Amino acid sequence: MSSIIQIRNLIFEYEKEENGEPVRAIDGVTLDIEEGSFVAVIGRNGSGKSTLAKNLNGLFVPTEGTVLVDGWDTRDDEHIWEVRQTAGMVFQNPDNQLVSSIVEDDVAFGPENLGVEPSLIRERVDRALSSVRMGEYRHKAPHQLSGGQKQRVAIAGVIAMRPKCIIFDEPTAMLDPRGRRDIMKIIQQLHEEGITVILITHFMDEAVRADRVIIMDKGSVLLDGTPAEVFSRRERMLEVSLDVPVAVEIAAMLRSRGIDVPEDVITPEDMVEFVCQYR
Amino acid sequence: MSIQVRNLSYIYNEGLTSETVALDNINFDIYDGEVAGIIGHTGSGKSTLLQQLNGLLKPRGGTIIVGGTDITRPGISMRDVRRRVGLVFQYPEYQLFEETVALDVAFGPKNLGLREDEVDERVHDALELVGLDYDEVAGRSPFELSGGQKRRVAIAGVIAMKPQVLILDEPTAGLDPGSHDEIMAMIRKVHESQQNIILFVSHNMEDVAALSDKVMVMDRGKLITVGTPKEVFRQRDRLAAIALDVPPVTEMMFQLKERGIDVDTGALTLREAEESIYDYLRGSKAK
Repeated sequence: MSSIIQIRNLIFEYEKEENGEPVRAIDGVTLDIEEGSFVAVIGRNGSGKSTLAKNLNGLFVPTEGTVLVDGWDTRDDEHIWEVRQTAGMVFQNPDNQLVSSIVEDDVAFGPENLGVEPSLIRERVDRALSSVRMGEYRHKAPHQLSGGQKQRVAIAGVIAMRPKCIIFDEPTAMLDPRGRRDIMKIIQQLHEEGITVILITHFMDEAVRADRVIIMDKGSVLLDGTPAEVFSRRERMLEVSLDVPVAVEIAAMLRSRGIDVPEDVITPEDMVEFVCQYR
Repeated sequence: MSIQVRNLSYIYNEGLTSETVALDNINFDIYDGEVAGIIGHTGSGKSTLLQQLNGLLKPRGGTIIVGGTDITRPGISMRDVRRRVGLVFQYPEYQLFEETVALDVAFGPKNLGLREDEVDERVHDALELVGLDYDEVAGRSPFELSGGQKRRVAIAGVIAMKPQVLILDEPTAGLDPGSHDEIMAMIRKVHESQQNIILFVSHNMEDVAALSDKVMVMDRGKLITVGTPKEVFRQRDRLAAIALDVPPVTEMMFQLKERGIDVDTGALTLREAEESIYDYLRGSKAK
């Protein structure tokens, strides 16, 4: 597998308006994101995870270091559209992402900007809407939709640009449980279709679905590995005020009472399987 | 101090084609010092109910009696209602507007017509109660604070009005795990010190189970069940039918039960779940 995104010694600083003292949000991150992988990035507020996400499609460009997206340097103005087309982005607040007054126009906005042939746009829009199961809402106005539905339209808008990679920046933070479940299903489905998924989230039950978990803290990578490798470092997670998945907590409690629960029990399903062996 | 709600109903856009029954003959009581969690899918009427309790919306029919006063009767002063019932909206930090934290928190008590020294005292107490250091934050701009801190300032603004009933709409939505735990601890502390009634809406069933004396379940404008967390979350399949979850740990216990493992599906906390799984494993050959 090749890397779709290569991050080398990335440093990113925000200019502070008043006293001019820059704030370092990313402090020397080096990562490779494999094409087709599903990577979850976790960290508390201010850990740098959202800043990292915005550096992955050229919304922010590095203060120092480089970010290559499918080989294109995000600092290269001439190829910023290649970068944006390769790596699409879905944000937290669905209300801030929809620009048109009709759902299908909104989804068409991206491909139109890319200069896609008008006859092909129709097909792309229909496919994108049906893949997020919003086809029947195509003539609705976004304000008539629920938060979860708006978020699905925002995702369709990104899918219609046919990106190889989609970065989701806390896409479920403002949604109710049904909305969250719908979005997670779509994310998994996109991953299965071969799209590289980078999911920034606070929710551990979402992160356990990824094949790689990266924990950010104070602008650096604190832990990086499979969900089993990362979540088994329970103490470390708690130190940086992160939650640990329910099954990992219970496994730790059982172990402290002498029950030999394997380290790779991470999801509720894993715990159920573990207990069922002793039926 | 208690709340009695009788035959409460509300209709949006009455007489128009878009007419929607938002609240359909709601009845419940909340007793002195209780914490009640309200759950329901988006559009079930939770927010409409909260706005009725705070006098923001007037019911089409029915009464809401708060501490002996019917807050729906014609001619009641809104100031009286607000003094009794404080409502913290969803994402309240978006409503901060003053130049300093102290001014923002003082806004409500000032509007109650309190003397200046009383206002100052309330601002001081409210900030301490939400876990912020008065001397450190009072003079700062609310916009310089972190997300969790901003939310606490917004909540302090309502607490400073000393409402007998404090209502919170999704108090932990959108927070990271650390800030989430801080807000939960803060709600407990406020309740302990004020001994007020707290009503809150949440989609986080773990929070609902942990905080509530009583859980109220809404579906399509009706209040369909009221009970203790144990009584309500025992009805997992009924909740699933109206798109509601049980706490994650309880869900895991139900999954074990479905596989024929005899564990306690009434477990609502990690501790209870672990205890039950431990007992099962010890009784089998895992040891």
